[in-house]
Amino acid sequence: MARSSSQSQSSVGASAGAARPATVGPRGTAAAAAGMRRRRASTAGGSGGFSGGGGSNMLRFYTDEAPGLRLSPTMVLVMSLCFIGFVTALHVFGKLYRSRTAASASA
Amino acid sequence: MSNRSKFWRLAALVPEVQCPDQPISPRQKFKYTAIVLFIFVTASQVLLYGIQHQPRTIEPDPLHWLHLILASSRSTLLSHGIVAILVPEVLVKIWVYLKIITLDTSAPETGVLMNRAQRLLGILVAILGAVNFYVRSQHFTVNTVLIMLQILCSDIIVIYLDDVLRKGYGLLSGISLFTATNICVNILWKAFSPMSVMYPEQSPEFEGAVIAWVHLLMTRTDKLSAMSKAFYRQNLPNIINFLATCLFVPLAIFFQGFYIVLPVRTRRNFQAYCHIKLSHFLYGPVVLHRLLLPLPYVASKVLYKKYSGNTLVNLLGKWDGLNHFGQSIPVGGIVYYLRTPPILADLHRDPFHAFIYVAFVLISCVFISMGLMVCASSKGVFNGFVVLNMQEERRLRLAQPDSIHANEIRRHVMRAACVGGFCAGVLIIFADLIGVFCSGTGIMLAVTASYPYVDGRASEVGSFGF
Repeated sequence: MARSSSQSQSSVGASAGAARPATVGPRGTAAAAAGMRRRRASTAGGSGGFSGGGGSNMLRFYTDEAPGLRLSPTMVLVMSLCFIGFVTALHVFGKLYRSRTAASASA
Repeated sequence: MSNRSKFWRLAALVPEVQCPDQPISPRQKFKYTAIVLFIFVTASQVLLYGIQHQPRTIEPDPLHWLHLILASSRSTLLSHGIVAILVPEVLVKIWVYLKIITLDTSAPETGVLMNRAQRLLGILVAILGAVNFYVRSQHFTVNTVLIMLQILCSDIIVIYLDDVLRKGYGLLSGISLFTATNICVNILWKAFSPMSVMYPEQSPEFEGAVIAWVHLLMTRTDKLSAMSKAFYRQNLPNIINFLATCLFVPLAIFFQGFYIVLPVRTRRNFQAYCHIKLSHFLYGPVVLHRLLLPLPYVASKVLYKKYSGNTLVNLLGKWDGLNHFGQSIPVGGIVYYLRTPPILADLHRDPFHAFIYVAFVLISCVFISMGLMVCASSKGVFNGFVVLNMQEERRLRLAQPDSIHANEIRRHVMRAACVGGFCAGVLIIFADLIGVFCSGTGIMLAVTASYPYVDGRASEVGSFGF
C-alpha cells in the first residue's frame, strides 16, 4: 500500500501540479524509497527542476536535529500507568483514612 | 528567519516522542496499540479523587453526543476526553484554510514545526480545561487543586499517547482509536450491562437489553408479556434496538467499500484508473453533524426552563418532562422538528416532522462534506482521496474518448464529496429510525474510524478521514 500511495502521489502531483505534502511518512525507508521513485518519475517526465528527493532527505535530517527533550514510547506508557496507579492509590488511602477517622470517632 | 528562530526556541520547550529508528513489525504495533488502549479504558473508569460523586441519575446528558465523539466520561480522569488533541488539529486546519497561517511547503522543517505547534496548542487546551474546572467550582480548596492537577495530567497523557500512535508505533491515529473504542464500549454496555435501574412504583430492571430479556423470561409467568416487555420497552435499551444494531453494523462496513472509477489521462495518450472512495467523505459529516446538532437543543432547553411563557422561546422548542420516564423531551417548536422521530410508526403519525428531519439531515451532511473537501484541497491533502490502482498503472492503455484530464479530477472529487455526504445522511436517518444503540452516527463513526486499518491506509489517515 505504501508503494501504491506514493505512486499515486507522484503521478497526480506531476500531472496536476499539486503541492507536495508537507510531511513525510514516519518510516525512513519508505520515505527514502518514495523520494527516489519521485525523482525517477520526474526525470522520466522531463521536469528537471523538481527536487522531491532532496527535500525528503533534508526533512529527515531536520527531524533528527529537532531540539527539545525526546521521549521514548515506553517512557510515555510507563508514565501514564504510574499516574493512573497514583490516582488509584489516592482513592484507596482516602477510603482507609476515612474509615480510620470514623473508627476513632466512634471509639 | 528571526520569527522562525523564536518559534523554534519556543517549540523546543515541548518534549516530543522520538521517531522510530527502524520499521516496526505489525506485532509490535499491535502491542503498543493494545497498551495504549488499556491505559485509555482504565483512565476512563478511574474516578477523579476529591470530587463529590452524585448518584446515578436517569436523565440523559444533553451533551451525550459530545461525550461520545470526544470519548469522555463524566467525573473520571478523562473528563475532557480527546479535546486536547482534537481541538488543535481542527484549529490548525481552519487557520491554514483561512490563510491565518501560511505553510511554506518548500521549507523542510514545516512538518516538524506544525507538529510542535499542535502539541503546544494541545497543552494550552489542557491548561484551559483545568482552569475551567476551577471557574465552575466557584471555591478554592485543596480538593480543587487536586482535581485541577488530575485533569491537567490526564489531558497531557492523552496528548502523548496520541503522539506515540502518530509517530508510527500504533495502528491508527489517537483520535480515531479512542473514539471508536468509546463507542464500542457503549454499545456493548447497552447490550450486556448488569446494572439495575430503580424506578418508583415499579420493580427494578436491568439496563442491558439481552440481560433484561433473559431475566424477564425467567421471572415472569406470562411469557408473552415478558417477550413484549423485553422487545418493546421504551425507557431502556430493548431487543429491537439490539437487532437493529446487529443489522446496521455490517451495512455500514459494506458501505465503506464503495468507490467511483475515473479514467484519468496521465501522460500524453495514456490513461489510468483512479478510485475515489466514498468512505473518505464520511468521517467529517458524521462528526461535525453530531457536534453541531446539540447546540440548539441545549439553548432551547435552558431558555425553556427559565422563560417558558415567552412566545419566541416556545417557537424554538417546548419541552415536557411528564409521561417520558423522567426524561425531558421536546414536544413542539423548531427543536422538535429537528429531533429524530422516536419509532418508525411516527412517520405516519407526523409526516411533516419526518420530512423536515430528513431534509435537514441530508442537506447539512452534503454541505459539511463539501466544506471539508474545500478545506482539504487547499491544504494539499487532495492526493489522499484519489487512490491510483496499482495494477492498472503497470498496464497503461491508449487514451479513450471518455477519459478526463488530470486537471479535472478536482471537479469530480467535489461531486463525489456531494454524493458521499448524501449517503452519510441517508445512513444516519435509516439507523436512527430503526433505533440502533448509540445511534447510527456513533456506529458509522466507529466503523469509519476503524476502516482505514483494514484498508491499509492506517498511517496516512488523520482525523476527519484525511
